[in-house]
Order: sequence, then C-alpha cells, then structure tokens
Amino acid sequence: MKTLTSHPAAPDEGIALHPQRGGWLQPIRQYGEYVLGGLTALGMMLTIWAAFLYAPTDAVQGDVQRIMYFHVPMAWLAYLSFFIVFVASIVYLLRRDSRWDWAARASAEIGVVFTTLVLISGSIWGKAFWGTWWDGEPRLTTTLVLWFIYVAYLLLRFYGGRTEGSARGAAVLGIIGFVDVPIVHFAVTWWRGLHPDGYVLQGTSSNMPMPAFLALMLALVTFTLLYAFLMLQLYRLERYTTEAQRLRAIVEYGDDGDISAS
Amino acid sequence: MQGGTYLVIAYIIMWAGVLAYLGWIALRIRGVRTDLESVRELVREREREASAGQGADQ
Repeated sequence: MKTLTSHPAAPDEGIALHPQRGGWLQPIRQYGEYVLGGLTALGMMLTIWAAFLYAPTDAVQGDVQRIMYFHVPMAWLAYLSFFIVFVASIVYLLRRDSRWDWAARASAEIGVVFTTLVLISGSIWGKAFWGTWWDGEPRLTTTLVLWFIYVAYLLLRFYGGRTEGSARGAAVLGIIGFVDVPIVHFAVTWWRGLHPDGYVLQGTSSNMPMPAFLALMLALVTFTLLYAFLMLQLYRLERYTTEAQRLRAIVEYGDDGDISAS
Repeated sequence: MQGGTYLVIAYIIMWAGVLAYLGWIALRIRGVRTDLESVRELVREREREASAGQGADQ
C-alpha cells in the first residue's frame, strides 16, 4: 500500500524542517488570513444587524422567517463546499497532487458541518411554520441524502487512512456525490413540496422586499468569506498532519518517508 | 411555542454550532502543531547523531 506521505508536503514557512522563503506572497500569506478573519467577523455582525433590524418582518410568517438569513447562506456554503470537493477531486485524479486531496477533504468537512446546521435550522423553522419537525418532501429528503453521502465520504477518509487508495476512492465518491447537489437545488421545481419555488430569485427579479433581499445578499457574501477562512484553517491542518506523518515516517523508517515497502 | 422562541432556539443552535466548530478546528491545529514540533525535534536529533557518527568514522 502506497502512502500519501510519499508526496512531500508543500514548503511551509516555520513548520517544515527546512523552511523556504515565501517571496512576495509572504505578507499575503502572513496577514491575509487575519484580514479575512476580520472581514468575516465584521460581516457576521452586519448580517445579524441586517437580519434583525434592517430587514422587515414577514407579513405571513412573522419573526421566525428571520431564520432564513442564516439558513439559506448555510445551504449556499454547503453547495459551495461540495462543488469544491467535486473540482478538487477531479484535479486530484488527473494530477495525483496531494494538495488537491487536502482541499477536497477540508471542503467536505465544512460541507457536512453546514449541511447539519441547515437540516437543524430548517427543522426548527419547519416546526414553527409548517407545524412539523420533518416532512418527507423532496428538498428535505434529497438534502438528507446529500448529508449521508458526504458523511460516508468523511468516514472513508477517516477509516481509510492517508493512503493513495483512500484518496482515490474518496475522490470518486466526491465526484459522484456532487450529482445530488443540483437535485437538491431543483427539487422544488421538479417536484412540488413545502419549500417555496423562486422565492429569492424569479428569473432576474426577486419576490422579496429590497431590504430583505439586500440582507440576504450580505449574509451570502459573509458566509462565502467564512468558507474561505475555514478552508485556510483546514487546509493548513491537512498540510501539518501530512508533514508530521512524513517526518515521523523518516524517523521510524529512515528513508524519504515512504513506508510502502514495509 | 411562539415564532420568536423558535427563532431564538434556531439562532442559538446555529451560532453555538459555528463557534464550537471554529474552536474544534483551533484545538486540532494546536495539537498537530505540537506533534509536528516534537517530530521535527526527533528528526534533528537523528541528523545530529548521524553527523556525529560520520565525524567519529573519519
């Protein structure tokens, strides 16, 4: 069995045994993360303000409709995460570069966490508005299937170890699993359910009042920033873990870290 | 329960989830950094031993 540790990690300032200089990208690497974190925190505060104070109260649902300002962006973040898994998995299979595998793994984890939060917040919203915690309607069912697919992906990564076989298998699952994302999105159009169709966007116009639409757009931008911030953190975690494993293999086996011969 | 109560419960769960996840990531990064530092020290030790062995041979 060949391990992923046979692909040395990318040079990492301050962590790799023999660090390399980052050149002109160094300040961006060093401070970009703080800027991104700060913008995300600021965006979150603005989103809370917009959701509770700027956006009008829904005439039908009342205050409970304000769940939407976080429920929908979390769903968007989950879609984005699984799209990145899809792209990174394809590139990994083509190039066999571990860095794409790290990106896919990191993005899948974020996607599962936010799909879980979408299911929970949606269930609470459903109880308040529809009178039920769960209904077997198309979008809920397909979202639950999506959650199961990527939980299976993470289980495969966890129990399969950091091997090329596990990475290849997960990449295939990451590509096939993405098929469910458009199904989730178009479920409200293809099959009639409880979720409204075209509430946010109907063609190029919106059915929402402008302040509500702007608050939602702000939330979408903020959650996209949050995704970028989380990806940076998890990608770094993947890189450190792989580097630690590679160095440990050098200590234990005294070669370049490839324990495939053992 | 009123709509407002559901709203509060949903926001508490969502924010607790996001903050707990951020905290968990921070803990994992800290753990793997510590692990990486210790294994780097082991590698340095091996390198020192190897160079000392080469010096003794000469």
